[in-house]
Amino acid sequence: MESLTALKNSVIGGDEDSAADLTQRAIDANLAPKTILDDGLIAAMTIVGEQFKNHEVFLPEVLLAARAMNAAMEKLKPLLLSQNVPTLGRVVIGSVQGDLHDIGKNLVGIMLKGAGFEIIDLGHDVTPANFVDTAESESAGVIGMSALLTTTMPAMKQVVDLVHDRDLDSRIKTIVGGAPVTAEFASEINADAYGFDAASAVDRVKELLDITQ
Amino acid sequence: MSEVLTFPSSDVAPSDADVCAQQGMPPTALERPRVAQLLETARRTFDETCAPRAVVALIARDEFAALYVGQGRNDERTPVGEIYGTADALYLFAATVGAELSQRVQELFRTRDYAAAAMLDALASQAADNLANRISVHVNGTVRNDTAALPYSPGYCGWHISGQRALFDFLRPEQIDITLNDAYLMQPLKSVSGVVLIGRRDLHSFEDDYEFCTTCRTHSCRARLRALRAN
Repeated sequence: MESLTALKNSVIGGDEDSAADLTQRAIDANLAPKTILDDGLIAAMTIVGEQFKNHEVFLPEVLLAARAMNAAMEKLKPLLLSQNVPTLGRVVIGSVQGDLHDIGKNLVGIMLKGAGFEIIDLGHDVTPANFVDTAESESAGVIGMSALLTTTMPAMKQVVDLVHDRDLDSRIKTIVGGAPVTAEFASEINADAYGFDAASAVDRVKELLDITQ
Repeated sequence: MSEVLTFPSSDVAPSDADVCAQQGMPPTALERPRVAQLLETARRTFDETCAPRAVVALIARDEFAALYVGQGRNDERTPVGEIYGTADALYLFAATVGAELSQRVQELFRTRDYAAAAMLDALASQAADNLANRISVHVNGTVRNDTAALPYSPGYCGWHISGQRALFDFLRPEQIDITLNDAYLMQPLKSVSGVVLIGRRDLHSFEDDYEFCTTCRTHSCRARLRALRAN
């Protein structure tokens, strides 16, 4: 559809005014909100994610695309809510206790949101209890933790252990990432997955939640 | 006895290449108008708000030995632990590029203007690193003219982040409005602390073969040591 192609291009190009305007036009033209979301916004962010993975666009361009998507979502969200359009799932993310670095975590959140997940971002310096309490109370399927300091990585294990201690393993999966974090470390602390970067984190979260699309 | 220092923001303003590197981009990324525009806007905010201040204090080796042990949570082998004993002088420092700059970064994140936030954050983070290096140059000048100085910080290279507590107890950076929370994080966020080790040029020669190096993706120590040797 031509209007969705234009919407997709406006998001890819990071043009927030145009993205909001074209979304409104698509709504006015009675396109289904889920179609606008899937074939316009998520399709655009999927392309941007691929381009980022292939080093064809840079971080600021991904973030500008996300800003355009957010502007479009402001128009679309009330309709999605009123029609109970489900998201792919709910993910709680944050930088672990003692860590204030959250650019990487933000990027993961943006990519997950772009893929169709609902994100609850707890920010940085998040306590293990806050991660698990929030995931439990918000019925989130995944907790995503980020750390940039080797000295804060042990806090990830505390979260994984707390999920286990509360017998939530079957309901809440954990994924870890960040510059010093490795797949070996993730396995050592019994995290369910490891995200090397933002793009792969999206793939791993989909696997954790058995999402094939 | 501690000393309060102030520096002009131009002393710590990052190069375009460093700002790009902070965001994992080559400098050629600035050939894209949207990226260049973001940097230009961020630089205007940076120039308006960056206010570098530091508190520094000379510390004796035996005093530092006790301070470095901290809560006993450092790695067994660390570069600082192995080289401070042969340093000619040690200066503790805590410094910030200013509360207003840190607040502007947080505000942009809060309002989800991530592109602008990440660009300003990169400028501010690099400026904080530059400030630590600027302090090193300043205190190095107080020793001899043939010594080399490098800053080392808690939270990196095996020096446990909890080491901030002992450092703060000694230095009292509250006098320049830097505080520490229970998770050992400094406020304002764009602050940096540590020790500047001053000594003969080969004082800072060490390999990246420590246990923590196996999980380090940047090995940025190599670039720091190369830059020191080039100077």
